[in-house]
Amino acid sequence: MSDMLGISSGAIGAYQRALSTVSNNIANVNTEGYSRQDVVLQDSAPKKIASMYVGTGVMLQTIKRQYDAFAESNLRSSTSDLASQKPMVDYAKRVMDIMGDKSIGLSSAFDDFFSAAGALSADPASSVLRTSFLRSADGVASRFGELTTQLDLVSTETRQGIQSVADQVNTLTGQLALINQGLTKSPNLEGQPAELLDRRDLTLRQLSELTRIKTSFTSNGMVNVSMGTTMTEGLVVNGIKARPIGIDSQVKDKVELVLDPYGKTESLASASGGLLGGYQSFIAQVLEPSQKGLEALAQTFAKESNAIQRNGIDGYGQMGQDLFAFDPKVASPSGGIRVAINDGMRIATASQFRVSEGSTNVTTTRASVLFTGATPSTALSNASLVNNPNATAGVTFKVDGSREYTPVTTLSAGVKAAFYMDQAEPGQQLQVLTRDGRQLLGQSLSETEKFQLFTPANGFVANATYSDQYLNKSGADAYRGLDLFYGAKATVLYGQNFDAYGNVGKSTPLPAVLETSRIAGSTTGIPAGAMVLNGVALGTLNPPADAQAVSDWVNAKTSDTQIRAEVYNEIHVPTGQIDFTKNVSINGRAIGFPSQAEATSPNFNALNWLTNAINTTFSGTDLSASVTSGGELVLKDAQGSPIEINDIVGSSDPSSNALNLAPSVYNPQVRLVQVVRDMRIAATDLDFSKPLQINGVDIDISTGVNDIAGLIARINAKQANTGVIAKLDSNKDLVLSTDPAVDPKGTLSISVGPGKDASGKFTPNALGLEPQDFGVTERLSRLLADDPTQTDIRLSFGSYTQGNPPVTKSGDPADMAKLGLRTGAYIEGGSPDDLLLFVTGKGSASIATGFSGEPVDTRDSLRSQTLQVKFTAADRYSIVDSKTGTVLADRHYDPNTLEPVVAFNGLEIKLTHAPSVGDSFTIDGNQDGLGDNTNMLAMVDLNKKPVTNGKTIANTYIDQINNVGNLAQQANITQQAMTVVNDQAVAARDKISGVNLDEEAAALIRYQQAYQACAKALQVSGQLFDTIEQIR
Amino acid sequence: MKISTTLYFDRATQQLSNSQNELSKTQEQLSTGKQIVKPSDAPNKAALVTRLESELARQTGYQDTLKSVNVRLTAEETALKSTSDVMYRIKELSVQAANDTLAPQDRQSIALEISNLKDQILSLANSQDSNGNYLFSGSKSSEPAFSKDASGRVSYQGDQSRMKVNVGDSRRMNLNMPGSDAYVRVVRDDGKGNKTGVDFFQVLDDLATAVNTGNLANIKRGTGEIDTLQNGISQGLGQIGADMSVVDMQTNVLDQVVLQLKTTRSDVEDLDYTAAVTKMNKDQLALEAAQSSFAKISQLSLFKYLN
Repeated sequence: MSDMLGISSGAIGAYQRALSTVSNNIANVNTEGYSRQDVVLQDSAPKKIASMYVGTGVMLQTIKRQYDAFAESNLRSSTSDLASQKPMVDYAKRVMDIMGDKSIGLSSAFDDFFSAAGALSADPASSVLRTSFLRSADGVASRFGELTTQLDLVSTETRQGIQSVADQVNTLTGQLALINQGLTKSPNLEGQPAELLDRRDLTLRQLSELTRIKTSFTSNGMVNVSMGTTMTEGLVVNGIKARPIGIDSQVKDKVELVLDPYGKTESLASASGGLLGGYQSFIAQVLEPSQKGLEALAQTFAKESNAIQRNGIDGYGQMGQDLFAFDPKVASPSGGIRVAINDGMRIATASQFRVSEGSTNVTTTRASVLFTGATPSTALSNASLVNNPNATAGVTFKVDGSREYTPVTTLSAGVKAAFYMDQAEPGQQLQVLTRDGRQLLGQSLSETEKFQLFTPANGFVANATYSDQYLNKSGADAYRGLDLFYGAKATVLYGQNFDAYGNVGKSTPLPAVLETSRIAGSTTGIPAGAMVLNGVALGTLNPPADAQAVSDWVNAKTSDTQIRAEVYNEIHVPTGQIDFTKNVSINGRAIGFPSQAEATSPNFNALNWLTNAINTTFSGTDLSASVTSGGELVLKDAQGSPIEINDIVGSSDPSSNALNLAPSVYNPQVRLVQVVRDMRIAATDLDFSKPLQINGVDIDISTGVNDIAGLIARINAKQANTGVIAKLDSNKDLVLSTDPAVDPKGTLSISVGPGKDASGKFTPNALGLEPQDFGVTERLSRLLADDPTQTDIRLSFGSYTQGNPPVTKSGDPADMAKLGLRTGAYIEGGSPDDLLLFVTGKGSASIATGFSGEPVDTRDSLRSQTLQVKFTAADRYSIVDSKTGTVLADRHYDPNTLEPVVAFNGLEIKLTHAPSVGDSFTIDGNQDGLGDNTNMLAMVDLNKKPVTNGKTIANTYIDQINNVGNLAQQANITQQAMTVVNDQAVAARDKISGVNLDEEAAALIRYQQAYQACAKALQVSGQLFDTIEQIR
Repeated sequence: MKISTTLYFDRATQQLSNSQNELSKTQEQLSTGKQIVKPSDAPNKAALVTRLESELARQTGYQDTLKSVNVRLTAEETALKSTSDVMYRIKELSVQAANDTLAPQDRQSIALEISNLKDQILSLANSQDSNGNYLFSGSKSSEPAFSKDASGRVSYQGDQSRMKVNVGDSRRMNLNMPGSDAYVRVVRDDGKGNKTGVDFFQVLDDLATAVNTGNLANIKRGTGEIDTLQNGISQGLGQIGADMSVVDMQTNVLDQVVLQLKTTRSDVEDLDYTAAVTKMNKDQLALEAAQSSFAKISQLSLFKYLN
């Protein structure tokens, strides 16, 4: 087609296409992602005519898509970078505005709180200010709550943001997979439709806005996309397949993305950039630290203010309670912080202790008090003493050499305890003292003992002095009114009762019983006065002091002590211990075995046989055997004589005899029993106009009796019939007793009547009592109600003189052991002060202890006391317990000290200068110091106190705002920089692929002109043809 | 370089909206008068502003405390001044009573006046502040400082709590004065060499009794003791005066501190109107220029010339 017509018509066709490409460009000027297209024209192959080549016109080679892979990938990465800053900038600003705001932020709430504390410290008694302080505390708590809610809201939003981004990613990757499928039709890039490639690039760009992606292209333009660090992991688009991403549902409270959450799950921890990365870094860098910081701050604030509050005294004189508490139903502490008290008076403004100056003080010395003590953690300082009162658990303490004592242990204040001394040698004593040298139990210390004992190493205070004012005292004379006792003691027992339905009924008191162990009979005896029974000195116990002698010795004073003694000898053998295949010999008589006939009889009972055999063998003697309901075989000597268990075939092994008892002489024991013979009737209960019957005998008082003496005379007149004696006691009350001549054991009843009358009604009697038999139990109940201390058996030590020249000596635990009794130091109810225990006297003794209770809180215990420091001499002061008047300490001090300090149990009383004689200072628990602001000042100072990493509470919060602010600022700057980079990338892509209308207009003109020229050429060629045709 | 038509329009509209944002921000600043309207406007300065606010709140708290301390001190001063005046009168009366030419009736009337004056001092010593707290009771502020027991003996019921209160970051001052510090005891010799402290009101009672019974030795002793009591009141007044001058000084210091803090806060937070107005004009100009240039340039197109 080298002819003109052919060339022109071909060119017209080419330019027509060129023009349509231009108009396509113009039409797509506003299409997003469109790449400008350009026609490439090429001269067609020339035709050789003879020796020359003739042009054959133009042909449209291709329509080229204007595209630069580098500009495109650059744009994608800068889009990711820019998009990643957006959540950071937007949300960090929001967090900033929440935390820094005056009406939601914490800072102003803290300011309110501390200024309310300051105002309260200036007027602590004001209930208005107390309420306003409480309200400001509530303000802090609710601000914490609001802030937490706001941050939770941001947290929810960002999490939803991530979810929605993940959904968008999944949509886009799905589209890319479809595009890839469309691209499979052509094996090379040139054969691909430009629009499909535009679509692909646009989708990739949209995807890169959501997250940073890695791409790889195949030769035909298909794309693989990865969200991981390499193209082998985190593939979201792989050829014609797309894999969805999602939030890992396995991980709670945190947002973690995974690939293919419902299929072959793969971690996407390295995914970054884009909106997704922006959200994640916001959560990790701003949100979570802010939330954690807020939680830590809430905890610190509550902890610190609670500690101050608990250290003070509230408006009711009580120890302060926690100001803040955490709602257990709310997960985060910052969201759950609440004000725990709602009464302004419960705010602890005052200090725990207060010191007041005496109103008759001579000097103007001022005192201040501070508590610095601590509560001991263990009941006993000596860990080798275990809580087991049994003698076998005892620890041996030895006193020898030049030291006259051995420390046993320290007993912490508040612990109830009893210490038992066994195997003591004569002269050995257990001594109980306070840290200030008040001896409470034991025997008066000798000068040497005092000198050796009173050192701080032994637990005494440095300037302690000795006093035996409270030694072994009871009742009102006792140290602080405590019930302390040294010796052997028994108290009333209570028998348990059950009603017909098995419910626990009222328990019946049983008279106190003190049983000794088996008494062999001491060869030394006990001098008169060495032992004191219920306050009555006992006489001489002559050797051999066997059980009968001990019993007689006690009974000699029964009328004074109201204690009688009886000798008994019983051996209890549990049935399980008995071996019926063996023989046994008692008091030299063998019991033997059952005969063949007996043993094979169907009703044979080995235990019954043995009991019977013993009773038969000892028939006519005092020895008898019986079986108790508890399943024990009891050997008993009615006269209390020793019982001997003999060897069987010369073996001293207990298992060689049937009773499994060590062959030995079993000595009798002594039982001391409280005699409850008396019965007191208050004088005010008497009514002389009423009749009276005692033990069924009428006492005629109808005439001539108008006072208590008359009544006594009438009752005693019938003594021979009633066996009841009447007398007056020291309180002028009537006392009825059974006649000792008739009733040596004091166990007979006193029956008071008259009983029911003819109509079955009770008649009131002259004693005002319910008509009934008053036996031991009733009399004991009445006695317990009157004076419980009268019902104990207390055997303690007294002093006596011996030798020439006479030396005063004292009974000791070795004497007690002669009676078969253990010496105990009983500290009932615990002491408010620590006690120190020592053994004095040469030799070694075993100490066992039983204790209960925990050491008391020293501070609380001191607060409940009122102590008075009295300056009794120029260089001496004493500390007195105001409640009981007990002198707790009597100390020397140096009056030349500029600022004397009195220390007691952790209290430190500082004096401004030396007081003079007669001055006193009272320390109490500040129960009514409503106007004291000491503790509130500590709360005010919390504002300035460094609590976390050397920062105050308010500054900790401000630093958090600062951190968020810095991050927001940084994100802002980065965003600006990234915008510039992105703008450049957009411009760079646009330079190549963008459509400029002016350019297109020029192209339009250009191609139009060419088109017109070609048309002209076609016309000319037609004219030429016509010219030739006209040649005829 | 080629600029595509779309990009040109995009950029132009973006720049217009940027200028408008700037303008609206400046306008917001002008209307609030603040450089920083929201903490996020200046993330790096927000912490500083919060810190200053907190500091200011604390100093203002101290100022409030000073005010209430001052009220209390003034009340105490008034009570003690009045007591002092009454004491002068008692002194006068006791000197008069010491005159041995006086008739017993005259002494009795003097004794009556002294007892009345004592009651007046008692009511002064039991002064209350506006909240009903007894000024001289120490921390037992809900109980009268001095009260009569069944036998008519007046004794101090308060305690010796000497409380302090924070009136500056490192300044504490006295909040109260226990009654026993102003209404002091005198030391009396019992004649056997033993010394004992005698309560303020007991001294006045003893004096009244002495005057009543004409016991000249005791009147003389009482006259001497009145001086000691007067001395105690004066010392109390001196202490209160010293405390009040602390209040004045500290008020001045706090005013200074608050002023400085406010200045600093203003520097950070408040708007420089001149600069802001200038900036607004500049932004306005830029916006107008951008608008008009955009309007003109966007008209330019080759297509206009194609026909």
